[in-house]
Amino acid sequence: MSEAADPLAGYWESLASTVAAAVAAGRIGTPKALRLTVHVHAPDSAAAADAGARTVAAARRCAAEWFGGEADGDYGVGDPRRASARLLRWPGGQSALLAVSAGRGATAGNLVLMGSHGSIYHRIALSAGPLPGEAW
Amino acid sequence: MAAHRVVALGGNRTHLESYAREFAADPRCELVAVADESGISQYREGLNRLLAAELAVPYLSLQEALALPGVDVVVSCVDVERRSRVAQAVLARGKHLFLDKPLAGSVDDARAIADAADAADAAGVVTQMLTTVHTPWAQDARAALRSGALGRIDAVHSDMLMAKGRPGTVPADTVRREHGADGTFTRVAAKRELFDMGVYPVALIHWLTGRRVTSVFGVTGNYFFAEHAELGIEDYGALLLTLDDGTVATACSGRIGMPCHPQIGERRVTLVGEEGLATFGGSDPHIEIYNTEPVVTTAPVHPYDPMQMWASTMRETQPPAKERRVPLQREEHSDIEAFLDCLDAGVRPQVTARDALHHVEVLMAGYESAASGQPVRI
Repeated sequence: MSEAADPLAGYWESLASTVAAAVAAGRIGTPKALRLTVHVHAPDSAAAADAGARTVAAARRCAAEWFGGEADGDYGVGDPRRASARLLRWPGGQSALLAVSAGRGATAGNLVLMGSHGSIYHRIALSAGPLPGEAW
Repeated sequence: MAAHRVVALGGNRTHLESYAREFAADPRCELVAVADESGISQYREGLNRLLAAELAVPYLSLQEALALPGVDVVVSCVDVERRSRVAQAVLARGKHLFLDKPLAGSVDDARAIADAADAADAAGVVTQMLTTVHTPWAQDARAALRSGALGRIDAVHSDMLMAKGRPGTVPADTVRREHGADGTFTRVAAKRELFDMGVYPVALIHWLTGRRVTSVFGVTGNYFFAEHAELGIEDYGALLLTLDDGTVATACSGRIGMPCHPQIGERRVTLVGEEGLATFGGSDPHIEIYNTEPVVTTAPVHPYDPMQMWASTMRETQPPAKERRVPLQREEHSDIEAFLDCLDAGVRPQVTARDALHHVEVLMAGYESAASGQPVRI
């Protein structure tokens, strides 16, 4: 997926590296569980399907970076054109609960990365200004 | 004279510590006894007697208490493994029953309570289980849903991540292998957190949507605490749910540790509709205060309550207050006030024993799924 095709590509990369730096600094201990809920604005159903798929892929890349590898268990429900959710598990026992939707309404959501002795919280919202990589 | 005479079942180091005091403080109620079954462990009976002494009421056997004149309300926080037998005894005597969560430790036990509650319902007996549905944020979520502003609801996501206990103690190489639920849920040092915390989001999703869960996929983990790992129980559980109208739902639950959240924990629900997303939580809206006060990082560990579950042990360890994030002040109608309102108005509570049976079905399916690695249909 090219960055030009994904207006949030820069955002996810920035988020991934910022969180990875906090993890590398030992601020939350070993990352154990990810909880992500995000709704991505899309003007129509075709765009929603693309946005949903891109967002799931971006979230999986983030999780793989933070957990240090790819999941070996993956189960999903829902319709990627509207709302879907996936529960992933890693060989080391870590898990990620990803809830992704796309359609009308603003891009918004929240994230918690729980580590063995700390947690990282992030609110996804456009109202405070553009996300990195996203134009007004 | 109070309208209701109340018997409290259980004792210290259960939620009865707070429930009994709240019933006693309500002008509609007179707390007349603390009670429990005969033949329980010395540990449990001692803690029950301690609470009775603190509340200045007699400690009686269950049968003695139910036979007291005028008793019409019972609040039950007995051990999970005994909840079904005790609830059936209470309902058979025609007493209104406020139940601790979760309803019971097995679907069979929960169904027996629900059946007994339905039978008693014909005589006007009311049951209610503790949930978060009466919190302002849950009420806001329901108002938003009912307003239609979000359009058709496609997904509901809810979290209950309790920020108590000292985390970071789980051995580094711990990888949980779930074996399912064996009916045992009462332990001193820690609880099964998918069961104990997961019931909140499951109950909230059921209450908000009015839909039953038809499919469950679950994962459990040992991520934070040595206590849970040593007992072979999970400190985290995540559920992927499909509701009977196709709505997607997720529930994230666990105990993440006192330093890991600016308040008591992450309590929230997100509604996703065709018009967008809206999130409602126990921490929002809030103000944040940064000042010269020391930042809370940890608290002394009580040997009989390392997970900081009970007010009685917290009085001894005196954990520092978390005061950086302060939710805006709002009037809050507690679960117990709502229960008493239902008694007075003669209406059915928002979450009855019959509703709570479904929560147990979902949680048990979650354990089964986490053990098998496969989705489980209900």
